[in-house]
Amino acid sequence: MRPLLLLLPFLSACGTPGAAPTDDTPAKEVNVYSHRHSDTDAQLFKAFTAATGIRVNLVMADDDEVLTRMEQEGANSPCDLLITSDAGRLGQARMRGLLQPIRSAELERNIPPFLRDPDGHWFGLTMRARVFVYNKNKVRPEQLTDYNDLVRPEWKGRVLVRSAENLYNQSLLAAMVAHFGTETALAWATGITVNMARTPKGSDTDQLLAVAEGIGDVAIANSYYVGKLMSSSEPEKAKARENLAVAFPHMGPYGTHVNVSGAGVAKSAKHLAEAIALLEFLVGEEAQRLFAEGNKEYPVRPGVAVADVLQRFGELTPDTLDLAQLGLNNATAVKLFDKAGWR
Amino acid sequence: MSHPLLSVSDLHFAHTGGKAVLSGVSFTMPVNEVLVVVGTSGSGKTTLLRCIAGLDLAQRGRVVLDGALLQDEAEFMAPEERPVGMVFQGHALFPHLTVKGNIGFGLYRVPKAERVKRVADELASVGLNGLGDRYPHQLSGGQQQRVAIARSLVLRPRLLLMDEPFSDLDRRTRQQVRTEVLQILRAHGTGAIVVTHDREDAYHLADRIAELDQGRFVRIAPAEDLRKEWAQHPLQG
Amino acid sequence: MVVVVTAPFHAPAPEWSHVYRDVLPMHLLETILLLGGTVLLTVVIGVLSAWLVAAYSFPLRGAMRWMLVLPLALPTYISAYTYASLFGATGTISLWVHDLSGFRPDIVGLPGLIVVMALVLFPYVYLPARAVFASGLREQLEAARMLGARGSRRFLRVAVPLARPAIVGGAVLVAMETLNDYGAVKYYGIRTLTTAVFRSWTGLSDLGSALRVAILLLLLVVLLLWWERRSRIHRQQATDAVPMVRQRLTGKRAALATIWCLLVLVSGFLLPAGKLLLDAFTIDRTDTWAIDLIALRNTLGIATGAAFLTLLIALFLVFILRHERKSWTHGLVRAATLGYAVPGAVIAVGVMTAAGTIDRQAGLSFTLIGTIGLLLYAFTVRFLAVAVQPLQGSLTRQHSNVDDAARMLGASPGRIFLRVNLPQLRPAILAAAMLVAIDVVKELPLTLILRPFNFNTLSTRVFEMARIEQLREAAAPALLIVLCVLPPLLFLDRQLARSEG
Repeated sequence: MRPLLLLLPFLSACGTPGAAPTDDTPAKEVNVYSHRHSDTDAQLFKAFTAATGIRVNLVMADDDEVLTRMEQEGANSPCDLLITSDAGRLGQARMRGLLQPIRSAELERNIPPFLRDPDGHWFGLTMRARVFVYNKNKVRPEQLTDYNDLVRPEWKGRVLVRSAENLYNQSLLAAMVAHFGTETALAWATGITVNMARTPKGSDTDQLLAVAEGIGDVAIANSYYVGKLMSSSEPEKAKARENLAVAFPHMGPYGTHVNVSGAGVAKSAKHLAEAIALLEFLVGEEAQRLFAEGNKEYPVRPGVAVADVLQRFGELTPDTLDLAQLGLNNATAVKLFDKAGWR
Repeated sequence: MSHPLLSVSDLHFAHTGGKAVLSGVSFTMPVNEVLVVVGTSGSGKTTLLRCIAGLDLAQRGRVVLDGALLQDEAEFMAPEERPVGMVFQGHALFPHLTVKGNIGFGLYRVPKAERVKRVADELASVGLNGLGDRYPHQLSGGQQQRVAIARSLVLRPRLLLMDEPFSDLDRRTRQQVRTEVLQILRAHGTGAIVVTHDREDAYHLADRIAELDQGRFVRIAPAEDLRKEWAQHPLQG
Repeated sequence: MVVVVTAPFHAPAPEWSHVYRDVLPMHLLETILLLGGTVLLTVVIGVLSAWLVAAYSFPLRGAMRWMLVLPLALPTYISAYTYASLFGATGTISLWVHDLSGFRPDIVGLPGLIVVMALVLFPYVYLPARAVFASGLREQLEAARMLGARGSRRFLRVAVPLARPAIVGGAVLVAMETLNDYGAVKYYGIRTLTTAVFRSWTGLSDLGSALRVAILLLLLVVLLLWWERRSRIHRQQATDAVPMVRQRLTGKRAALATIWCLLVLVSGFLLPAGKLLLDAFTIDRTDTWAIDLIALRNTLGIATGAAFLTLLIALFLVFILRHERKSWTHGLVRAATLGYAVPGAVIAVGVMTAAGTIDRQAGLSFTLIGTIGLLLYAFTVRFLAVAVQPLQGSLTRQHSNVDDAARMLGASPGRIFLRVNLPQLRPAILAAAMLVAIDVVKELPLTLILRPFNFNTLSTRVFEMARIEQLREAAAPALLIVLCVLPPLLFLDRQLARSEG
């Protein structure tokens, strides 16, 4: 008897996942594999369901595991929409045959071409820039106009950046490879490694806090982490808020490196219409505004206001590199990091 | 007889549950005596040995060995400091050490050369020459017994406590080992208290026999007396 | 399980030469350093604490005895994050120290990680050592006393050598837990074989290389297991469960004993748990609590489900071992229980690959991946060893004579198992179920990969919060994990204590 009682919690947990719809029309749902933050997304999905009656079922996982999972599931994969936090992975997903092209006037109108796949396999939903964050008492912004500036000898022991295992760094280097080739990219990576204040550890936010503490003078971080830090109300972050400022470096003749968090419709999608509806919703005004305000990301939709805190940083001139390049060059970037000794 | 080797006065021991095991044991032992303690199981024989050894804490009583106070109400000498050796019921040999290692265990403060010699001598005196490098599990019961005895004796204790020392030996080995042990004890001048339930052990080993019942000695008598008794009533006792 | 092992030889590995040349050497080196350091430190902390608690009486000893088990309730990654938030370069305590003295402590790094992991993993050594010290060695230790050996000599020359198989067993568990960890190791920037697996897989998109590194990892573990068997063969132990008589410590020595235990307890459990408590109650986000509660229900669900399934298979295996004495049975059981040595993520990928193949071959109209069944199956593959060990241990104490007697009376092996062996195994079965459940609650990478839609567990919640650098919000689910694991942990410890007297 007792062993059976123990099974109860197990059975109750079985009941929920993705199975029973709440409507009588069974097709009104969409299955999403996502590697994004949960907070604003949960809100958005709820709003979407409220507006359209389509239920959103969510699985969150790490980028590449998600891709491998989709591959293994093959044609039977229940995934309708794949959302990632990096354009490189979307490119990979396309290369591995996991996405299908779709046409949507709404999407094409509201997302600038360099932020989406030319054939409609994936679409960027929010933009993030990889910027320099510096201690304004020690550094003048004029010293930080180009990514290459940090390689100069006067920065030795003053640069803070996270591990090379992180996607965002890999995409940054991949962009350099796309623009300038492997040798230049390697030179940059090596130069930064030499100038590091410490072996990479911790997250982007940790680098920012470290700058505030004086462990280094400049950090390389994603714009939304800076945004979050600057608008946080936590007392420990006060030092950071008072002493940090942002610079938008250029990559030679090109703009500041940007990446997108985006989505693509899965090849195996069974709820095609619903998936497209969700995509269009995420590019709609309400969603874009929430991304901007709630998550401090740059909206892709023209006309949507950027969060105040980001605006105060300065003007972003994005590098309009075709983001598919990020995925293509990722493996090369990883190898270059290894060669440079960037951990 | 000058001063006694061992003097035990009014020894009391009770388990933490409250059950009394020793209720006022008192006796003295002269030098060079083998005292055999008999009694039914549960009468406290093993506890008596453990209290004299200092492994169990007697709540009351006084123990003096060779003029030195081992314990009383105020003082307590730790077992490792007492010049008392003990051979346990299960031998308790160290399985991870060889025979030589076991015998030499207590001699750690002795310089190596001397230690080796003493171990070798003791090995010989218990008749275990050549087995020095074996491990306990490679020996027979009788051999293990002898190692256990040698291990304690090599330290030249003033008093040797033995708890059912021959219990898992067959009859012939028993006789053999018994005789050897007696010889060694006499040779070294070591006193001994032997706990046993075997009449033959008592018969052959004892100078005196003490009977323990419900935590106290009901009788201590020279072995001669009991031997006569048993000769008259061979099936009793 | 077989698939996981054979897959690497089929999969292509285009980046292998790069991995082999540039990645592997450093990762291997740091893995060995981490392993060595952690194992050494856990043995020192675990054995010393076990000895103090088993052999002596001192103030607070009774409480310390079971409280020293508490660190097991903290998954390594949670402890690592918490310590980093306190003692990292910009950690709360570090900043305070810096203001006072100008010295900036930074725990994030290899030595720091060794200390953090050791503080959380030492119970794996503490528990078996305590068991042996408390009730297996009394006669030898008393004999040693009568031979003039004082405390430290008894400890070093008798207790430790005789407890060696138990200590080595615990140390191997520590090693395997260290190898399996991904969250803590990654956060502290240490390059281990496990991170190399992920690096090849995600960074280089080379699953084949990743699996090859995983094989290397497996070899390392096989080596460890082999060494453990060796140390066990040498000793012929008589298991007499006679409880120790503890020596009372007084004055300075008693104080030292108490202080040591307190130090270990505070740093291993109270400090990180306290920080979690603090964080959990300083945020006021009521919506996250709701999600966390659902995650709690899910966690409990899969824990019980996995425990059930694992137990079923474990009992079957143990039955084979006992009653079918063929030459391959031992090998089979050992292969089946090897899952514990493989990092959770690797098992997940292996299981996923196998399931995908089955999907295709059988032409199924839905996919096996993402079903709870597959998740449970993967847990079983991973934690089978955890269930088999206590069952096997308890079973070996049952004399085969009884089995033989029943045989002579005409009972079939199956019947013997059910009517004779099983009833006596009940405490072990309960223990095994709890151990598996505890491990499932704490598990992270495998759950992340194979979970169904809309399915959060407490560990995935912690991970998600930590990855978006909202460590504060991670405190609540982390705390719930600790609270879930504590009762069965303490219950198991009491069972142990009872058998130790």
